[in-house]
Amino acid sequence: MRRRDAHSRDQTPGVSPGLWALLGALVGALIVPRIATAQTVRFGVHAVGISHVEISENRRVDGTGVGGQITVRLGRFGLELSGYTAKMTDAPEGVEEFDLLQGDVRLSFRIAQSLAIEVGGGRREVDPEFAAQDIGWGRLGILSEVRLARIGSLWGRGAYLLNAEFNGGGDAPLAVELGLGAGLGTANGRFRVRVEYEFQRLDREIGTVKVPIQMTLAKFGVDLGF
Amino acid sequence: MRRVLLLLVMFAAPTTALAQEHPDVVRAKAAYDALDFAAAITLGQRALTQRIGRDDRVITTELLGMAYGALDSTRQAVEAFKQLIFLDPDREPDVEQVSPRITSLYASALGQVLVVRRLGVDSATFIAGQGGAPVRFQLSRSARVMTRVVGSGLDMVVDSQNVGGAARVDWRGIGPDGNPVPAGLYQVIVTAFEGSSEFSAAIDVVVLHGAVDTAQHLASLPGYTERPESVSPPRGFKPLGLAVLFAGVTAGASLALENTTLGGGERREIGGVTLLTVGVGLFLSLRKPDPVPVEANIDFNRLLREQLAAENSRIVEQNVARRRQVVLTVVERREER
Repeated sequence: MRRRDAHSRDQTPGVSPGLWALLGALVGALIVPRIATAQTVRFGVHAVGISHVEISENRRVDGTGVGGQITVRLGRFGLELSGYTAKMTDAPEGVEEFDLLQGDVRLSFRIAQSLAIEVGGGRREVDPEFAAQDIGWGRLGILSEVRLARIGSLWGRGAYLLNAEFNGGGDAPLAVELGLGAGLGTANGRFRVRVEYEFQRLDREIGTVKVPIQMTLAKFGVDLGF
Repeated sequence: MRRVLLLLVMFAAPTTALAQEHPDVVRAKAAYDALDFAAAITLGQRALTQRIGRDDRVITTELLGMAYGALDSTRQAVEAFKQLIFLDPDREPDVEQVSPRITSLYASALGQVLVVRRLGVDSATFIAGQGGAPVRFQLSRSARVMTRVVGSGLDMVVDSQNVGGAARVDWRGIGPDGNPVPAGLYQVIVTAFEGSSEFSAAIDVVVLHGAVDTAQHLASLPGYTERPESVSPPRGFKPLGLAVLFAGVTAGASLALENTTLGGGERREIGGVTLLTVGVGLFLSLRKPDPVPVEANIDFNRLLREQLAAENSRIVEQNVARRRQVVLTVVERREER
């Protein structure tokens, strides 16, 4: 398996440094000073199952992996940092296997009881390079979370992915993601079992050539709340 | 005439049997009983000139009044009854046993003198300063009356007023300094004044001290009970409905957004997560719903607790005051005659 070298890492595309800086400053200003008094802080681990496909249907690669997540709730604000790594080994003949590493940040602001605006960004890297596209993106979307009972809730989200960049070049005029999740835990909020689904579609184009990317993800994990 | 005198004597028997010790008094009484009124008068007058006890003097004076009355000596009879009234204001002929003539002579005598009669103190238990022991008396004529209480080093005027007939004065058991009087023996003295006439009657009372009962704190307001602040709503399928809605919308949108070039693959991820999400909704629908707060009951209970706290605060204040108070029990002390 070919490994990424230092030169190629420098060329990895992603969200512009200015946007990352803006997001970081926003998070820092709103969350960090009051994190000690945050209403809820959750740490979670999860297993993931991923299906990734690029260019054509016969290049679908499936894999599994593990990840972690930190969620902070403070009044109307919420911050979610998540990431996972997966080995995409279930590839058809002629398609290279690869390792996948993805990180996401989501900052939400609740505008109604069950509705929040969500901004953030994400980055996905694959190894070896060009086995699939390294991608970076910003996101702007909505999050709807409903508390079904003291011990259970479910949520759905949808976002438009902004400024998606690829290490292979090109851009994506249509880039969206969807999400669905449900959680069930103890009444005191200490423990929670979580199941989550994510769908991502990026209609990448290089000039007039269409090289779309699509990925679906299922998470199953447990959270520990404080 | 003999029959009339017999009738008078039959109705003129002495009203109360007092101790009779002096021989002259015994003989005067025997003469009266034998209807020998002249001898009764002679013996009675002789007995009064001797050293005899108060009871004998009362009996002799009463005997003289009735003997004079029997002999139609009105003036002497009234004078004798006046002496009797001064000696024992509360002693008067029994209308059931004495001739109306005698009682009218007694009433005539009573109207000519100023005396305090039927002085008594009703037994009472009260908080010093907040109640009183009733002092009752009667005056033979209208007069100015001063009521005093003397004892335990105190001499207090309880009341001063014009009284005609029966009267009542409440003694509150408070000393000149405003504090409860000490426990002990006291004398209630009622003095009537009219011109140069003055008459005093006294009665002994015993004052006992006791502690005032304090009120107990309330655990709840009588007639009110707290209401449940949360109730479990009836079981419903809203959680399942919401789970189906969220899962359906997401799955539908996911399928609709699939790139036609790339297809959907086996769709294991959306299938599995949708199934689990619906399962969570079903589980929460079948489970007993979480209790929900009832604002009206919460407000009601808050008001109830505030009222209870206020009531207990009042009880605390009352108990503080009560611990400084003294219960006085006033009992008339009667002497055996």
